[in-house]
Order: sequence, then C-alpha cells, then structure tokens
Amino acid sequence: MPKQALENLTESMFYVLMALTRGDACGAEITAFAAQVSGGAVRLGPATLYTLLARFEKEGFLTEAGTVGCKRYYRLTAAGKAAYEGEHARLQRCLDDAARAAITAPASLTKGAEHNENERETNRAPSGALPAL
Amino acid sequence: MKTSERQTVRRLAPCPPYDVEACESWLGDMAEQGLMLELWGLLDVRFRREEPRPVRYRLTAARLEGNVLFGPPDAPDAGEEALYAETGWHFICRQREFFIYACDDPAAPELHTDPAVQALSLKMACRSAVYYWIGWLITLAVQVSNFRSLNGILFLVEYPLLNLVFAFCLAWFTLDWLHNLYSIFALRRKLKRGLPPAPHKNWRRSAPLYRCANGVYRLIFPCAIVLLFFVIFRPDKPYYQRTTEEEKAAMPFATMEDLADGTFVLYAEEDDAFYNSMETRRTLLAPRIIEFRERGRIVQGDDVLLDNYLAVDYYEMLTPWLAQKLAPGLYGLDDTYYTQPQTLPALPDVDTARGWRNTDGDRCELILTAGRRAIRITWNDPDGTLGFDRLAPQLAEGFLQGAQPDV
Repeated sequence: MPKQALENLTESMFYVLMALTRGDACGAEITAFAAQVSGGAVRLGPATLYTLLARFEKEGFLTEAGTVGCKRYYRLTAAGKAAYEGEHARLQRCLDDAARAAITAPASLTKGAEHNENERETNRAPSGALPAL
Repeated sequence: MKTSERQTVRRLAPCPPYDVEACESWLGDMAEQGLMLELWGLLDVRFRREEPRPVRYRLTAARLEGNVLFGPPDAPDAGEEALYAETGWHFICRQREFFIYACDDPAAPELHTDPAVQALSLKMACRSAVYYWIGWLITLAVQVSNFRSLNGILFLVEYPLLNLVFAFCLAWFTLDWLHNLYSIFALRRKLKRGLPPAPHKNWRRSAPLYRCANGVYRLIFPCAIVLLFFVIFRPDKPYYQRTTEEEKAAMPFATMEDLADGTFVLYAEEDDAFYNSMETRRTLLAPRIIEFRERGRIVQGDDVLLDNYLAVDYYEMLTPWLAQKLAPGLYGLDDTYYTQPQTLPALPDVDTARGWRNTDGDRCELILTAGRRAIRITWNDPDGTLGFDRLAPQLAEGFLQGAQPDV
C-alpha cells in the first residue's frame, strides 16, 4: 500500500515538497533550502533525500526537470502540489486547534492544569525561608 | 623497529548481512582498530590496514524499486554517489541488498535523518529477503522430496557422514535466513515507529557462535558438494574379488548351494569374477553390508539342478527401525523395473516380505526384513519354475538362520 505511507507527510517529506514549490531544484539545493528555512532545525540526510525524491517521483509528486552534470533537477507536479497543500492545511488546522485550545478549552479538560497549579502552590517555599541556592 | 603487517586483512562477518545495525557497528569498531573496509565478499570481508580512526559506516538500500527477481546493481548511480559525496559519504562496496558508505567527518550529517523514510527505503530489501526465503523453502521441499523418492534412506545408510554434513548445511542455511528475515523486519518495524537505528549495536554477543557456524558451513559445504559428485559419478569398480567357498559358507543368507543339493560349478565360458564376487563394508549406521553376486550351476553328476544368477544386497543395521525404513529403498536397486507385485507364501518369523517380477516376468526380486537386518535377493526365472512359491521359503529360512544373536 504505497499511498498509505505518504498519507501523512513527515517533516522531511514536507520540507522537500516545500522546497520544490519555489521552483525546480536539485538535491543539494533542496537540502540547503530546508536547513535555511528551518533555521538549521531540519537537516536532510542525503539518503533520506534520495529516497524521498525516488519515492515522490514514483508517486507522481515530482518529475525530473533536467540534468546538469551529474545533478538532477526536479519539478513539482500538480499531485505533488496538492499533497503539499493538503499537508499544509492539516498542519494549519492543528496549529489553529492548539491556539483555540489555549484560549477556550472546556473546563473538563483543564483539571490537569488546575491540579498542576495547586501543586505549585503547595510546594511554594514558606515566606521567610531562605531561597534555594 | 617497524613490524611488517599485512596490508590486507580478511575477516568473517560476525552477523548476518541483513542485520544492518550490527554490520554498521562492527565496521565502525574495525575502523577504530585501523581496519578500513575494502570489500564485503561472498565468503569474507576484506579490510585495508590504515591508521586507526573513527569512521561511520552506513548501509543504505541498494534499490528503492524494481524487480526483486533481478539482483541489485553493483554500485549506486552517479547521481546518488555524487549527492552523498557532497556531504562526505563515500561509496565503498555493495553487500547483498545494501550499499555501504563510509564517512570520517564527524560533522557530516547522517545519511538517513528520518526513520520513517529509512523504513520506506528498506521495503525492497525486505521483499528480497522474503523472496530468498521462499526460494529456499522450495529448494528445501524439493530436497526432502528427492530424499524420500530417490532412495534417500539408502543414501543415508551408505553415506551417513555426507548426509550429516548436508543436514548441518541445510539447518544452518535455514537458521541464517530466519535470522536475516528477523533482523531486517525488526529494523523496519522499529524505524516505522519513528525510532532511529542503533549504530553501536552490540554485535559481540552472538559473534563467536555465528562465526563458528558460518565458518564451518563455508568450509564443509564445498567439500560436501565435491564429495557428492564423486559419489554420484564414481567410476565403476576396477575389479571384483572372487568369493571363496569358505566365505560363501559364512554368508548370513542362503546361497545357490543352499537352494539345491549338489556342487556349484562356474560357467566355463564366463569364468568372470564379476559374477561371483562379494564386497563387505560397514558404515556408521550399518555395521555390516554385503554385496554378493553368484552365477553358475548346481550339478549332481550330469544333472543340472539349478542354473542361475543370484544377487544379494544384505544390510545389518543399528536398529530394527532403520532396517524397516531401509527395506523400501532396496526396491529396484539394480535399475530393473520390477513392476509386478507377487503374492508370497507364508514366511514365518520374517518381519516384512515383498516380492516382484520384472516387466518381462523372467527376473524376481524378494525383499525381507527381520530384526535389524534387511535383504534384497534377485534371481532369474525364465521358464517359471523358480518362482516365489519354491524359492522364497528357502531364501527366508537361510536369511533367518544367518541371524547372529544381538550382543
């Protein structure tokens, strides 16, 4: 079931597609883009990148745009763009949900937070005690 | 003083080739001892001696798609090699379904940074391992079928050591492939769960056993094949030892002289040792094997009482069970088609008795077992006067009388 494995894109898959939304790119450029845009948080290993490019090509997410020397350039297809946008929307929903949850979470789901607050109160050092070193 | 050390060192791998983590860990440890991988061969692994230094070795899937019936390429394509080289990883050699890359730059990124993607890359390797396993199971089934249909038990009795060697090889190959299958699927499952591989896996624990069994297998398997060919295509015996009268008298079965009351006379024109010979030998499973051939006439004065060719294959086994199992294997031992089963007269004290005539009906075969002994006797009966009714009781009696008490 090859499609199933790509239903939810992993971080590296997402960044590879993201790099190609900006235009054709070779492997080294994709790696550099991912590192740059993530502030160094996302480092694509060459084998990970190579596997992904082969896999995305097989899935029809990208095509080869040409070769310069031994560098292959890749181009995002409509299917690849759709996959990227779908994942983008899913992640956006998650972020929106997280933001909403922080503001308007139901009381039943915040008992844990109340409990944590109470624990902090209990463990608070008594007034007049020496501060911990 | 500088010691002279060989620049090329060969080692047996301490783990199955599909155990990616153990292979990577072992290669890294070897580099720290100054042994840099050169080639992962079929029989052993070749290293080049250099200054000890930390080197990371990684195995990547040699093919990401394609047909598993065809082998993976020997080297990665130029694009892959160039891409990996840009980050400091250099292709060393292929090992089964994997390419081995090495990197001595500690700052270089890992080849795989996403376990989920690495799991995807292992799909073909897993499939290939399964296909190899299925292929091996089919081979094993054919071997077992051949053993059962092609006088396998007789082969076992005649060449027990050779069979033992083959049994070890089959068992080791089966276990080795099971280990391979387990290793590759366990790694893939782990990666799918998002866990990274362990590049410092402890390979030492099982290494002595693996190396020992693998070494023995690689040593004895070619020997066994050569020996098997020698057994199958062995030249005919150059000469036969003529049987003496004393030897005949000591046979644990009936000879022609026991079948008719007279004197045994060789054919004058065929005074050939081939037709009047015996060979005695022993194997681990059969303490006594006799091949006895007798051709001539029993005469009384001018009367010819019996004119025949008697061939006997006699096996004294270690246990009655083995004798029982051997008996079916004795059928048609002389490559004659004994197609007509015969009804035998009552043969008391014999455990099993079977009789056949050949397609032309002029040659008879009788197979008997009693205790831990089995015998196959063939003789000519061109005119139907020496049938089973007449000779089987005499032959059975001679066979039973020849039994020696078990010690």
